[in-house]
Amino acid sequence: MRAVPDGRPILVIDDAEVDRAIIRRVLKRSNLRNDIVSVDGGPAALDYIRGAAADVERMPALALLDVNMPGMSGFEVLAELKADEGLRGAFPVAMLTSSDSVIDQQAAADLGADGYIIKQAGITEFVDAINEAFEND
Amino acid sequence: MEPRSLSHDEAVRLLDLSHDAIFSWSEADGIRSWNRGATLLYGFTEDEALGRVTHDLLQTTHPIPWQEIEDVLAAEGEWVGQVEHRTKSGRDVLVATRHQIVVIGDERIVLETNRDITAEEQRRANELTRINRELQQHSDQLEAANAALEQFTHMTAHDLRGPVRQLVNLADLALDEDEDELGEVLRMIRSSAGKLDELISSYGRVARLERGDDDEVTIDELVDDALSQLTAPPHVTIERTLSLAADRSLMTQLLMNLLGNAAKHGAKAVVSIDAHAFEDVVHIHVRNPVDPDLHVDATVFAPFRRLASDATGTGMGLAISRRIVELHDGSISASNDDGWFVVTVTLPGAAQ
Repeated sequence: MRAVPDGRPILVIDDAEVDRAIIRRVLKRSNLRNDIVSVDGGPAALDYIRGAAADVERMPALALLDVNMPGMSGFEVLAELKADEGLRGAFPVAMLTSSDSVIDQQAAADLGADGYIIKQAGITEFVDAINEAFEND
Repeated sequence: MEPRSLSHDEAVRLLDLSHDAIFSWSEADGIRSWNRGATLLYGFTEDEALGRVTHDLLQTTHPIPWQEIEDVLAAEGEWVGQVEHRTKSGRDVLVATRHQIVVIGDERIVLETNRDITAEEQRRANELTRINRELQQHSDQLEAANAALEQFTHMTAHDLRGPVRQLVNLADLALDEDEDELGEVLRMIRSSAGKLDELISSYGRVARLERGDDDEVTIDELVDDALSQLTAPPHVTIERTLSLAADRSLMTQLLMNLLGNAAKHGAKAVVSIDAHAFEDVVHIHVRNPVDPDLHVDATVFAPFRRLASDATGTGMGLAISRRIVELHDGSISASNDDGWFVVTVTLPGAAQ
């Protein structure tokens, strides 16, 4: 994926508190310099994004979207973002998930996800995976 | 008293009383004698048979070439085996036969004693077919049970990897000099390890089908959990939800079984769930479309029972469901309600 511009935040959408905390620390150690906003699910993410629509500064530079979440899955969030003409293409959306299933990767591609990153075990590996996904250095 | 020997006529009459077909023939003159048993079996009268060549009259099919039988007859004086004959009415019969060489004067005569074993053979063949079919069914069930076990193992491994990945990452962070919130990281390590422990005990309980401590669970969150674990989840509409006290992992397993079942059996995998409580008792209905002619009764809950339309299941889903419901002192029933397969689960413990 192309480089993520700084100045605007990265939106992390993950239902697991521990994962949000880990991703925040991984991003801090990566080449991405953005502030981080994290929310615990699809509805909160859509609230944040729609609320930020009027305020360019708050609009995400990138959304990192978990797949397996209760209530509203990451794919449903992605589909809703793609269906909204005002939001479609406003910022890149990458899936950030523990699922290495080919079916999930295909579903992400079909729904128009801009990237698919697998959560790694090991902070170095995790940071590398983030750095490899984006052209920032 | 000296036993009187039978007269010729008496001997022939006795021969006629035998149920076996007994006849004799010679190379030169064809069939020489033909008893009543032969007439009963083959339909040809004595007059029709006498003088004819046996193999033409009965259109004999030998299991081995006739020349080989001849060789055995010459060497041993008799041959025992099975041959196929065609009766006068065109029916093929299988007979157990004994060919004996009898020499009368200087004439070499073949005496055949034949017993109809067609029905016996048919029964044996049917029995073999039945046994084979049963074996095939058992083998299919084992294969399906194995596949279910494989899927369970796969799911377990996948679930356990989440907290393990977190623990590895948190340990890395705890070791990282740049980490300035060590206490927070340790707290998360504790929480992930706890989650891992919880997962492992819940798998154990599901595997042993034991009821653990009750949690306050709601139908919609159970449905969410169940759907997230199904590889081909059906589309579910929740008409009404409520909460109850029950073992969360067993209840999730119950919903997984019922919803997975619905997705497999439904003409269209659309499920509707309705829950309501009456005097502390929760009623949950899971409905999905099904062939209106499909007969549904309590036997669907028997182990290894599969509905006709399902070629893939283990036949254990509904049996395990019933066990889980019974562990919660509830009951489960199924019906075909005008083209809707309806499973009704009744559980005590509705939350006020």
